[in-house]
Amino acid sequence: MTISLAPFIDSWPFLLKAVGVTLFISVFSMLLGFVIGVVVGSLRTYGGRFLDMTLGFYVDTMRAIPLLVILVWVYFAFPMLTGHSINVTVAAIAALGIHLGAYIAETIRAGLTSVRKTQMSAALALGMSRTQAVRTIILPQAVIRMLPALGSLFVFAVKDSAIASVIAVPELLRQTQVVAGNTYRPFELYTAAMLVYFLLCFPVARGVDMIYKRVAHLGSS
Amino acid sequence: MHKRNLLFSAALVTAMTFAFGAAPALAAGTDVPAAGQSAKIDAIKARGTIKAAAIGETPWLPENTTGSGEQFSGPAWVLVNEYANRLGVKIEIVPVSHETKVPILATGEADISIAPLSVTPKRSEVVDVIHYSTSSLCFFGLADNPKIKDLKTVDDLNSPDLTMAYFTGTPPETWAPTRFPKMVLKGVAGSGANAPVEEIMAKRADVAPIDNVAWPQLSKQVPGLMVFPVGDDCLKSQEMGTDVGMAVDKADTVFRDWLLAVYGEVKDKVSAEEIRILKGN
Repeated sequence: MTISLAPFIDSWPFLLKAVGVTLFISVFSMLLGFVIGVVVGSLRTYGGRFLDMTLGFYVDTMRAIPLLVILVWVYFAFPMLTGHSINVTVAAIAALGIHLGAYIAETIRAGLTSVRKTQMSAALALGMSRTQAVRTIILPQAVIRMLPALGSLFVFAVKDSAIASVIAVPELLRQTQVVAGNTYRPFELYTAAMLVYFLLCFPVARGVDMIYKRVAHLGSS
Repeated sequence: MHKRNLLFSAALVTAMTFAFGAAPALAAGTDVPAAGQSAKIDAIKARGTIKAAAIGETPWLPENTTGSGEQFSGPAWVLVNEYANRLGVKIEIVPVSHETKVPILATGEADISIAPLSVTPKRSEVVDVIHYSTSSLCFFGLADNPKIKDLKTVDDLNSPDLTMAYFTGTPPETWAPTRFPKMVLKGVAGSGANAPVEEIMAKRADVAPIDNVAWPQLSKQVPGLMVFPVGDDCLKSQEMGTDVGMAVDKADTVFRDWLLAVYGEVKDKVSAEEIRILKGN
């Protein structure tokens, strides 16, 4: 088998732009998922039984349906339902964010409930409101405990962005397929794509681990 | 003699009257339909863009992967640019895959699918096609594959010992079982290429179909392959000969007729572009 670097020499700007799109989708779907996750996780923890059950349905639904199905539905079925067109990138961010939000919500809920209840009782006894107690006592400890799980979820956001190739989002995997289709050099191109995904995800995973090791003691109670 | 000349002159004048009278009617076919005649054209003009579903495929719509310049080239690109210019709008590319290049029209997310489309009876039931090219299939595999290296004709491929890989959602999916009833057929997800080359290189399949116009480029890029019909006969293949074109939804026949009329006017330019691509210029 001969190895050829010609596809990279000819197409590196095209592929670099695709890496940019991958990062764009990953960051914004993570942000959307984080916002959804914080709201849902907090409401499930402190919002009472009704909210817990209702939002629990959203979490269970997102965890039960494959991301690919959600992505295809958001892009193809949702516009037919609403009558509004949706751009592929927006569809990808929306689907990934909504899907990720469920997992982040559970991570947030686990973090919040891992802090002993006596801490909340003590805060309330000192005259703090619930909101003050959550913001100043519970959350700082909970966030540190959530870090490893949140780091994993961000890595998932980067990896799951590759699924968006199914709806032809011009991210790394899809554009690699385009170049491979033009040059008939799948081995070199898909190997390179694999390496790029590794280079994107590995520092995130290691970075979060390093941060956690430094601050872990602050999260114990 | 005088009477014959008079009759001849009268016939000539009559013919010229009809010709000049008909010319405006013919030219009107390529005039953009007036507002209210085509809902699709009205929507395109109101939006300012024509939404064109596209996926690159040589030689009809090669995608530019250098990172600069126009995104596509080829006869389909020349034609859609002609449409956009006449409508006074820009082109908005809607990326699709081979599986979604037809269904996208039903969702309304695209006005036209310029992704190269082989015209099949099933596809003709759901979309109208503006065809601008033709294609046939060849079948390629590894030259050192003992199962195929001594075979001579396409008919020889019809064997239960051979596996053919094809992209799901493409015409060979319905055609191959009738042409090769004994062969093992294996559908794989589209990879963006014209043919599932990876399946052949990984030895998961013995042969795969490829558009005959795409074979010369494949044979240059990937050494060690052989093709059926053998050698140059591939370019004259009649296997699954189909028209290739771009698709529009059946709902708006005025839009379709206008597209066909415009193509009729510029078909030489469109053909010239395909020849340029095939020559590798």
